[in-house]
Amino acid sequence: MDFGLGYIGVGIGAGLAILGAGLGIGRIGGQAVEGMSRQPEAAGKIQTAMLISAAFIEGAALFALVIAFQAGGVLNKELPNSLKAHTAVEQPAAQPK
Amino acid sequence: MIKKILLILFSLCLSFPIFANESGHASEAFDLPGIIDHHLYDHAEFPLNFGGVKVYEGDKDFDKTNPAIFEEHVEGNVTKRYHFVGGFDMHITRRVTMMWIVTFFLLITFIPAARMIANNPLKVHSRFTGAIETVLEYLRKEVIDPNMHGHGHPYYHYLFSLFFFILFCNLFGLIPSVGEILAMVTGQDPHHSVLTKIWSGITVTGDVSVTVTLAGSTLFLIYGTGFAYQGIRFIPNSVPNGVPWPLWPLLWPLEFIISPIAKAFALTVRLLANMTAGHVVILALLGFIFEFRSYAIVPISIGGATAIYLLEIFVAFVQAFIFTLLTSLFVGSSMHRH
Repeated sequence: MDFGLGYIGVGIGAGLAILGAGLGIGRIGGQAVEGMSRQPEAAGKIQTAMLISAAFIEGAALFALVIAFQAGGVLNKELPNSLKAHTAVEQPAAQPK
Repeated sequence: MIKKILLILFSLCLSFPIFANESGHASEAFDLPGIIDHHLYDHAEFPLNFGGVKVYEGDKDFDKTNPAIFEEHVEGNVTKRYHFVGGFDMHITRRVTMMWIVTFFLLITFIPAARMIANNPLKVHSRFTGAIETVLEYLRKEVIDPNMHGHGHPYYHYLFSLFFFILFCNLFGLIPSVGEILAMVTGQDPHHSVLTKIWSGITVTGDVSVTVTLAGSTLFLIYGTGFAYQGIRFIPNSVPNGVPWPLWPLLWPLEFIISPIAKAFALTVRLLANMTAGHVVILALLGFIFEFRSYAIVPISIGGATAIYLLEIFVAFVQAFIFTLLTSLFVGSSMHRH
């Protein structure tokens, strides 16, 4: 059960991270397009700034993704050990009285 | 019309990673962690140890879980496996061989270009030198000069080299493994051929050691520039002007110690995660074909993998640019007191 909860946590963490990235980059894209519509001659500079900001926000989201990967890796590594422990404990309980 | 046909053919060729599975394993379940381990993580390829002791397979000290087990051919077609114990171990791994290949391509790209341009800097030589000059002019005028307040001249060499090294490393991680292709074409087993060992096709900057080193040199530059431009006054000058003195015990450790370390850490993880995440998505998408073993999944899988592949090419350029931009920004901001 603990490992199931752990994997759920990894999934929710990664999903929340990409949710934040989507919101941030969406806002940046919207503001950039609005700026370009107000002043078309500044479109080149605005596009460059938009790409740079998008790269930063994506980098921040990927920090969280790296942590999710690490957590998943730790869970994967410990999973076989926990399965061995389960079978060793259940055997005495299955003995008939 | 021809261009459209070629574009479609090119996109289909990007599905070459399908052939990564050889025919004898049709009955096994698809092992995504194993595939990720094979394609994304580092593995030892060639031994290089100074002063260590070889421990062969049958001996009592042989450690099966040692990551650097090599095979040695003795007479009579027998291969014995061994690993080293002790000594100064510098075994050549996949990242190292790919880094040498990237360096080789950097040298054959830029040394002729530099020679041609240095012959006559004012003349337009060819499209090749024009392309390189364009990129370098953009980097100089838009990235380094504004951020370094005109003091950028000592840093041009390092920052241009940094940009092109990261760019070529990122791009060479996207080219399929030429070593495996050559091994398949010449009939060898692609997983155990020496051609695969040389050109394994993995991303050099997808390893935390490489990105930590690159960010560490940025860290060294931040402190070095601060001390070079402001002398020993760099230490009190880290705190900006006009900060009231009760805030100093909080602000000085933040500004002098934690801020450069946080910047270097962010540089490390940004480059590492951007380079690795795309590959994981591509492998997972293409792995759907092996997992479901149905023809219906193929168009979706290949289409999605192609789209992510093109995004990865874009991300390769952007990440190299961002790393250089941030390095010049951080170094420039430590030249003068704020």
